Amino acid sequence: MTDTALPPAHAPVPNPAPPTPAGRVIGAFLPPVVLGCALLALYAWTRAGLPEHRQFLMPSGQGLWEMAFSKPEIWAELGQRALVTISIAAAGMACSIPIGILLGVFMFRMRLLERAIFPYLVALQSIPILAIIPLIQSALGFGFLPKMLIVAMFTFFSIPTTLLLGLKSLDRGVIDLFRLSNASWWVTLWKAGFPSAAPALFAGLRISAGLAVIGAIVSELFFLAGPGGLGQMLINSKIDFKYEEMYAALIVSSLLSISVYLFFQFLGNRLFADWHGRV
Amino acid sequence: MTQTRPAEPGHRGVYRLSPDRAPDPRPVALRFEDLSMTYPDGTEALTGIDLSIAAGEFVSIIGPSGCGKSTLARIASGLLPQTGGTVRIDRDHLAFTFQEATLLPWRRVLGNVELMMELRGVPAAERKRKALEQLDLVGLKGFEDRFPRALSGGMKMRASLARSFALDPTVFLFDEPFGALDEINRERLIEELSALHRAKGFTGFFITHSIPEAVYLSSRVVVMGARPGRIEAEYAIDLPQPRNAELRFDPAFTEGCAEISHCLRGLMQPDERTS
Ligand SMILES: Nc1ncnc2c1ncn2[C@@H]1O[C@H](COP(=O)(O)OP(=O)(O)OP(=O)(O)O)[C@@H](O)[C@H]1O
Ligand SMILES: [Mg+2]
Repeated sequence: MTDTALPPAHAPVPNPAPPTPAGRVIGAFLPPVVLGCALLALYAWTRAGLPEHRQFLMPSGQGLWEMAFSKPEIWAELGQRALVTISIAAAGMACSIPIGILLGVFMFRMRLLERAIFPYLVALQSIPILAIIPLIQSALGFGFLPKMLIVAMFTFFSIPTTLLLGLKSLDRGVIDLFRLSNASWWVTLWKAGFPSAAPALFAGLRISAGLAVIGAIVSELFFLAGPGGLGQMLINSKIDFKYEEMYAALIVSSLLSISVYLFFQFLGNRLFADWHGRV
Repeated sequence: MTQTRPAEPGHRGVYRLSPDRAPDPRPVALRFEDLSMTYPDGTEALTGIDLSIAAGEFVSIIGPSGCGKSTLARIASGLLPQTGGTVRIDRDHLAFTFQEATLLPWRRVLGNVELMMELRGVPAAERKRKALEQLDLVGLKGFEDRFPRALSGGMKMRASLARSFALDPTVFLFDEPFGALDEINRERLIEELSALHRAKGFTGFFITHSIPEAVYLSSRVVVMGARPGRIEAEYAIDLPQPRNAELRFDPAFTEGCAEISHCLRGLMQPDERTS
């Protein structure tokens, strides 16, 4: 037997050296920082290309600082308004989460209900919510309740659907274990259904949470009276031709949206990373 | 291989039982009467199963893949209603280990072993004590705080066995519990199970693909045939108790294994010719 007849299939591959802490930080932060800088450069370049009288549409960094972020009263306003926006978003989710979970459980319990409700959930999802805001205004006025309702409508869809999906993918064998012990449907739901569906539900919650802040801002675009949130600031600063303030409100809105998303991601990882893996 | 040897007093070995032998006088713990099962899709999984297992007896079921062994165990456990015939069993103190480990991925090993006790209302302190005891028995001491995804296939199966052992059942159903185990752990657990059976006297219904495993553990081995699943033959295992590792080299043991293996081959052949 000659060993030359059989060529080696592939060369050995040594394990890569584990990254140093510094390397890990760079690996995690460098790509987004580089892309962010590129985007900022693109912004500056686009702005430079605008005719002078249109440059107000894209305020410069200096303008943003001088007209908005250097003023303590703007900070105070932003803070106050962010608080209003967050409370609208939170109230809306406090509405959609329990109702969504209940509905998901009901649909899981009864196939018939699932068949009846599911098409309407999809239909609700496809209604352009913006288009019915005037209707909601006419019906419910300009208070807190209609805004909360709008957020609830924005965030509702993904909760019952992801929960149902998670509950339905519960392992048959696990259900058999509970049946062997004559466990009631509720015990099975509590000790097997919810834990098993929780990662899917949390994926839905992360989507909802991002939408909640958007919903809260959109809900105010048509409600200019009263102590408003960031959405109202966006409109008011347009009317007053204060585009730097508008950008400040925009930036804070996105930061809000991102932090809510990150909060749910953090919560999900705290709860499930050790048995389900990180997201 | 079809001759029926009588059970002579003092005779040692494995011999085929006649289907129309006198009934066992001991009280019955599990009994199938003319049982049949047809799945909704029309698959005839079992027909005309008549089998009686006395309290404290350990019976192994062996047969080709797909002959309906798991189906029979699921019917015995009450998880699957049969489509014909009767099953008699007292399910109050029943344990069932599935072919798959079926651990809850969100519970640590200890929580998994406690699960069935928890569902049956065993107090927490007692649960924990029993669970740790059983984890020790199956060789998983020190792994209580792991999540299932950090266990190997064989370790998961041992955790699943610990969960069943902890219930201290009077009737014990096993569906190929040792399939995923390495040779050493398998032999250790077989010996452990044999000792446990002698000590506790539960009724055992043990599905396996391993003939030596079946002969080592059982007082009777039932051979099933496929399409549709039915009982082909029954063998009495008249070997001394307590059994130990030495028994594997005893001629009575190896001859008995050979005889059952021969019977199984007889069942497989016509199938292989048609396919
Ligand atoms: N849910 C089901 N629906 C339809 N047919 C089924 C179902 N479960 C099992 N069967 C069929 O019933 C027969 C017996 O299956 P079963 O799982 O009881 O076999 P088994 O003897 O345990 O096989 P193995 O040794 O491979 O585990 C097979 O032909 C299988 O295809
Ligand atoms: Mg099987």
